Amino acid sequence: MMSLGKLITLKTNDNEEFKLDKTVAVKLEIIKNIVQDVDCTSNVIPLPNIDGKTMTKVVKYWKKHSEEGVTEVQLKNFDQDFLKMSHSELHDVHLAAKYLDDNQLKEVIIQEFLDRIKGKPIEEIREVFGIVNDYTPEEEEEVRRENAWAFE
Amino acid sequence: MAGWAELPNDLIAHIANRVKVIEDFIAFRAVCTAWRIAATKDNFDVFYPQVPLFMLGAKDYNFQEFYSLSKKKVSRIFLPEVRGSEYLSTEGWFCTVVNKTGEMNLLHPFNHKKIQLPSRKALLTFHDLDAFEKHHWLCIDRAVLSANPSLTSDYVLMVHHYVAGCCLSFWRPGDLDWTHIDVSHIHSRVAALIYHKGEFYSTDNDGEIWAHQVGADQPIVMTRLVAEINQLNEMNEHMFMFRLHLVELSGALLVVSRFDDDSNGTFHTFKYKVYELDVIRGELKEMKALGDSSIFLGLNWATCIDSSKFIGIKPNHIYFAGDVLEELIEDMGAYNLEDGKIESFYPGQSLSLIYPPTWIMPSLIM
Repeated sequence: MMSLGKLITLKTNDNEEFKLDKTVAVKLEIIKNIVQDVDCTSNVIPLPNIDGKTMTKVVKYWKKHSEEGVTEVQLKNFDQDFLKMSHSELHDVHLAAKYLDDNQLKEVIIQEFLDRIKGKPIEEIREVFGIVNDYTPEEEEEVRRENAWAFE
Repeated sequence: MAGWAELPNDLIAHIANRVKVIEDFIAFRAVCTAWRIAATKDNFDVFYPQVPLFMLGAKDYNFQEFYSLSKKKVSRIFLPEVRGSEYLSTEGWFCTVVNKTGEMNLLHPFNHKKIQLPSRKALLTFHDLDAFEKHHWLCIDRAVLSANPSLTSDYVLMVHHYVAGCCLSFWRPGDLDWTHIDVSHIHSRVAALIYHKGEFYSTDNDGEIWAHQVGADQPIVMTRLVAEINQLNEMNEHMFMFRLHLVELSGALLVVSRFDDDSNGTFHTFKYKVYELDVIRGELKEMKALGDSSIFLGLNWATCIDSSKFIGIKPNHIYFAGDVLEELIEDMGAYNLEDGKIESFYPGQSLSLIYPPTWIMPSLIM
């Protein structure tokens, strides 16, 4: 369980509030910087670029990963479950992690994107990610000709 | 849900930057224009060891066939340049020798770039011509590049050739002719040749390992004895036939010994042993396991990959093919270092009367 400490409050752009143990929050460079700037009496940190839905996920991740005595296996299982979200949600979490300068979370998201591409044929990648093929037939032919061995 | 193509380009580029497997990178670029623009050549790690493509035994056509172990599919590639030639695979290129004329080239099989080399005839001058009259045959059986000519113009090509005796010669871009290396101190034919940390290492099948350093100053080549590994022969207690390979794994040099047998009439490989070579002390230490790594062995080229990064490649296996030049012998498979079992990695046959199958490193053409 988390050790008791001073609580700080993160407030998203849709006015959702997240109370966090300070020992969890100050691990992140950006929070640390804001904490130092913010008025100590209020302890409320505004997050103008993040909505409540996304922040719920981020906080869930932070809490699990700062739990005392949590094992590697538990974290691995947690991450697996945590990453079961749509591409756009994944993107939102990545943007939030980027804004919060959380390199570990950024890395986890990028790896998940990579795993979703790995070994898949082009048509499947397009379908999975809802991408419209905007190549002209000539351009596509050109792209395929460059590395013909990979397209049979 | 927002289309993924609308993701910011820096995120797409960031993801592209992390794609290590060449086939995934090529697919990535083909998805749509935004992804293609994000996945520039600079975003791809050209030095990351890729799973070699398995080029099937030569066909007498303008097309040759390449099998991808990851996709389990054969691609037919227009490659008229290798017809009527022998070819040795090195650094993603072929060193080709036209059978009839002896013309030699470096050939890139996927972008068809050609770099002209001095001819086979020029190599003959290093041999005893009387012996040549008797044998009428000069064989070039190893050709190794120090670097990929697609990436640098500062490279050396080392070739091993023989008539009655054997020779090593090298060529650099701009050289008009081959340069001969005195290898009179090497007792038997070179079995494996590899470029490792600035030097060409050669070994014969008795485990005599030499290092040859090609420099710009005089003398051009410095040669030193690295190891005489008699212990290998002592270990070969059953006196099976024996062949050595050299391969690089995470900066270390490995010696792989192949045990083969033709006592029941059909030649076949039945065992491999892997050793790490201490190049300073000239000592070997047996490696019982390779972890996630897997080795690919061919006649001229051997490589090591991290199997966990690729689909369809088993860890701790030695994939071997095309190591026997005799016609109608198909000796290939994946050797499991853990239990010594050999299984097939290619569903068909790859016999060829023209030229055996070979491994070739795939490369990105952009």
